[in-house]
Amino acid sequence: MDKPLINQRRHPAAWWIASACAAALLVAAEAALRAALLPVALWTGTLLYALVLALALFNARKKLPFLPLTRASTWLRFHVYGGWLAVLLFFLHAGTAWPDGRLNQILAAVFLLVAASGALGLFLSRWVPSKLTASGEALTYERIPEIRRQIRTSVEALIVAADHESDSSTLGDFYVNHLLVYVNWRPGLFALPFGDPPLHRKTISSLVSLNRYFNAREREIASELREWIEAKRNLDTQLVGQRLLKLWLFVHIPLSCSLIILGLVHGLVAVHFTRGL
Amino acid sequence: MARFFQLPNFKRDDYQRPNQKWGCGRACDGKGCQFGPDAKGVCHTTGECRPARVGDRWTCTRPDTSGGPCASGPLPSGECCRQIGPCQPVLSLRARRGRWSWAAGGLTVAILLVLGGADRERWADPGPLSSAHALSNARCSDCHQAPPAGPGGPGAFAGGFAGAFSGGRHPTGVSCLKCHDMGEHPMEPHGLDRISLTRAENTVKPGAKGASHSIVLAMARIVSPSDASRECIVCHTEHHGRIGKVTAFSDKQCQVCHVAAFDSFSKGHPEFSNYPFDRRTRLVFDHAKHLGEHFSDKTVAALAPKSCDACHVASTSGGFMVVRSFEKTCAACHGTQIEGEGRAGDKGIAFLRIPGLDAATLDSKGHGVGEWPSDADGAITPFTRLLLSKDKAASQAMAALSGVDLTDLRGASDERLAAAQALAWSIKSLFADLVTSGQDAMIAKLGDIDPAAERGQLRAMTAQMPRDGLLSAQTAWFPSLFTEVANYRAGVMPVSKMAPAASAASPAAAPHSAVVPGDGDLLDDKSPVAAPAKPKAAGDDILGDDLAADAKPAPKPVAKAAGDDLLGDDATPAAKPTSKPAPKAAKDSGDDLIGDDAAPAPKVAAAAPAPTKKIEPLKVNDAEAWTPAGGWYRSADNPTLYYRPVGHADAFLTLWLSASAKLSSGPHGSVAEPLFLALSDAKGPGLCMKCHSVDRVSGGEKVVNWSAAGPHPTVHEITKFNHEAHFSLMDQKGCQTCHQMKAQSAYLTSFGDNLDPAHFESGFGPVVKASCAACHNDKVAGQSCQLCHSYHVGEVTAKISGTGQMKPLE
Repeated sequence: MDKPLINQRRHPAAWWIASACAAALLVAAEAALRAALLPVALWTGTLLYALVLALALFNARKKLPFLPLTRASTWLRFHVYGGWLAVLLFFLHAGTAWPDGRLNQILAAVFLLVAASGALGLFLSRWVPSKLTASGEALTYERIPEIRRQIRTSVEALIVAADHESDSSTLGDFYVNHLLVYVNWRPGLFALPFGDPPLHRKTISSLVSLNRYFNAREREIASELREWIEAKRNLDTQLVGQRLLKLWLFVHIPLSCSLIILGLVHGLVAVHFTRGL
Repeated sequence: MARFFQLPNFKRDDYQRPNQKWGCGRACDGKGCQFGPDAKGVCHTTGECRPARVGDRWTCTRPDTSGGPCASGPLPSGECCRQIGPCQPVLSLRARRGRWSWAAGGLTVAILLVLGGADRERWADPGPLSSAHALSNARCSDCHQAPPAGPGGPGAFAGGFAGAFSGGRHPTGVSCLKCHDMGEHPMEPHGLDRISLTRAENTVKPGAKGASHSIVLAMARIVSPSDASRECIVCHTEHHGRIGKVTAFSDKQCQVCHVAAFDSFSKGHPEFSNYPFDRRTRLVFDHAKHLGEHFSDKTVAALAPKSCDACHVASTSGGFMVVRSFEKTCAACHGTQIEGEGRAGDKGIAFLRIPGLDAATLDSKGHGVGEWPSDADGAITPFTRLLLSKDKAASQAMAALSGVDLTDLRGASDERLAAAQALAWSIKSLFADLVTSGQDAMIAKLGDIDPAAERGQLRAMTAQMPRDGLLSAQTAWFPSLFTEVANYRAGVMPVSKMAPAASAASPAAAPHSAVVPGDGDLLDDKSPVAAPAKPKAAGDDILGDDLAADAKPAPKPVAKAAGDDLLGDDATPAAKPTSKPAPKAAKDSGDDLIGDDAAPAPKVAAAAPAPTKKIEPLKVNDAEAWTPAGGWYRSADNPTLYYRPVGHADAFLTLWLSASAKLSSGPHGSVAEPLFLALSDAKGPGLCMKCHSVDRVSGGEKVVNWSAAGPHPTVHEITKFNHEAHFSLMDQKGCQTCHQMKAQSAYLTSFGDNLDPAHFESGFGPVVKASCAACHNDKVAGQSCQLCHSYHVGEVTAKISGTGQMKPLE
């Protein structure tokens, strides 16, 4: 395997320093080009477009894992820091004022959305995993429906066992009135992995409040039910978190495709009207 | 006990295939089938298992995750006994995201295709133009040129793309110049030619104190192209909205090209070496001498200005301090000086003089010149020399007679006598032309000398020379002028009374050898040879009818010594051609304009009874004193026609000075230069050169500065300053807050013989940079380069659109 250019673990600040130097160089070069009365917009625009294409190759790289194109983690680092440089280049190229041209406005909006979604993705990729780790067992996203089914099956089996092994219908009533709703409940599309869901707390609260009515066997079953309820909570947290980690890409990647096309057209138009191609 | 689901349990867990594009539709319920859809997303599942044939029997293959082999087993046909319908396969998240990406890309292309139709220019427009150019964006092609002609294809595209980065020329500048006239070098730095730029570069001293150490500037100097030519759009960027600033230019952009780079005006800008003086003043005015000496003189103290604004006033734009008019400034003290008051010498300028000539010697040696005033004295005036410069014979004669005393030709060689004769006839011929053709003759001769001169200027140079004045002068000086000149031009020379007949064959007279002495009747009109009579032959009607038919001048004998009256006595019947002495009063009057015909006093006095007290008759003023308001007059002392300046800015003087200055560097320099020197004598009539300086401009031509420096509306100076905006900032020193007068300076040495305006000594010290920097820094009034400097230097105008054809509108 190729040796990474910069070992992030050994040199945690290396990427930051390299990026800061590159940013300073870009700012100075832009100012120098502008002072030299050279077509600075063409230079910054071309560099920005080339950088966007290089950043887009990160997605292609993920589809070609067999190629010796350095580590995916290195690509990710480059994608992250290169993305920040792209934002800097964008403002050097277009300035801080909102553009007036319609095509330019669309292009600027798409770029800023791509940049914002990328920044959101970066934030989520840093914040969500810690939440998921704190929540409990990490689950494969694709297995979550199956695990949900397992939980539901297991809970039903316990309730049937309780019905058979005790004369009381307390757990059965609890299942019908509370547990069944919670087991079948699924978090909304835009739910966030913040704390315990209210339905979870309500279910637990109901189970705890029934504890004084349980006999010894029911208490054992209730204890097992509580474990399944916690598993369901973890399942929901994993679903919400992992779904968030995947959903932002539904904005970032499609808009990146639009950005590449719009950027190409913008560049051709600019060069055409500057040079008369 | 926590529940863990990720531990592998192949008997319990289904095998997941997240990398596949399609997944089982039942998986969302937690129980997908073991087969899954195919690659195209089609489900082929019909039962819970696909029975396997083992020998001649079908065996159930249902996995343990689905409950293991069923008890019923497969059907005899080999189908699963637990039939289930096909599911609706679902896309994986990755595949769904890919579809979204393709959709987004396709949508973008579709939108661009729609927008790329007829309305594409509006969509491609990067933004509104500035208000000044707002009307130009009807079409992009109004400003953006068509692609340059040449071979197409990818090579041309690549070349054009690369060219766009070079910052070199591209055609858009041509579009700008359709409306903006930026001079001959519009794309060069500051619009200057390379020679001027190189000269400017050499005047700047690099490495001045406070030199910039900016890294950006150093980088910019490295990447800056060696070719300094720039397109307009490099600096003037458009499409930034109606109020977008098209002329924004940073200080660093100035510094990239400049030899001496510095950080700002307050930090590193060179001291003003001699600002604002880049040449001497056009009008000679020694401020220190006037303020220090003249204005303290009690006799003129009341007339002296009390403040600077008595003589200087801000221009309309406020940027230039112009000098007020002569009448409001200098006239109080110098007005009468210009008019000639207190002048010791002639107050007028000798325009045409009949020079002293030894006519008797010429006559005696066979080089007759006809009539010649006996009182003629003095040399030919420079005006006459100039007017004769196109006369080849006169020019040759003047050259031959250089240094010869024309009043004594007794010892002169025959060649010089011939030259003197030729010169005399040229003078008489010139005079005859002026008398007969009047101002047109002078205009024509001046036009021949300076074909580039405007007719209006030539007309003004005649100063309305009067007909009667010339006629009277002719009557007095050359009574037979018209006959003599006519005969001379016809080849008939006057016969000398003293000259032997053989003298007609002398070399000088050779061209006129056809002269045949007549029968002695010199006035006989019928004679083919009408030789003039001897001027002093009193009683001879030497002019005969020719004069009577013309201006009827009285051929008053020279002996009367009253020949310089302008009108003579021809208008008086009593003054018919006769040798009778003129009345005494008239003789005394000298150069009176009216002559004795207008002075009947003697007759009246004679008719009146003798008074008890002697009554002095009226006297006509001396001609010079008679014309205090200026104009033409004739001298009483010698046959000279004078012009007395009207006053300040006299058109005759200014035009003749300008013309002679201009001609002095041309082919007529030998005659124009003396005229210019005569007129430009600082103590000469008009005193013009006392205040108006003369510059030698490119090509050696001399130019008289008739006006003080003033603003030119279409000329951009490299440095701009708004005086009016700074008036309120001056302290008690007034203008000397910035313009400090030198108590002692060699200001006046800048003038005199020096014709180079760049070599001078100012009467004021240069403006001190610190006085500007006190306010012009980042904290107070700003200090950007463009605050005080213009980029475009020289004539910058806007072109008038349209064909320019002058025709009535239909």
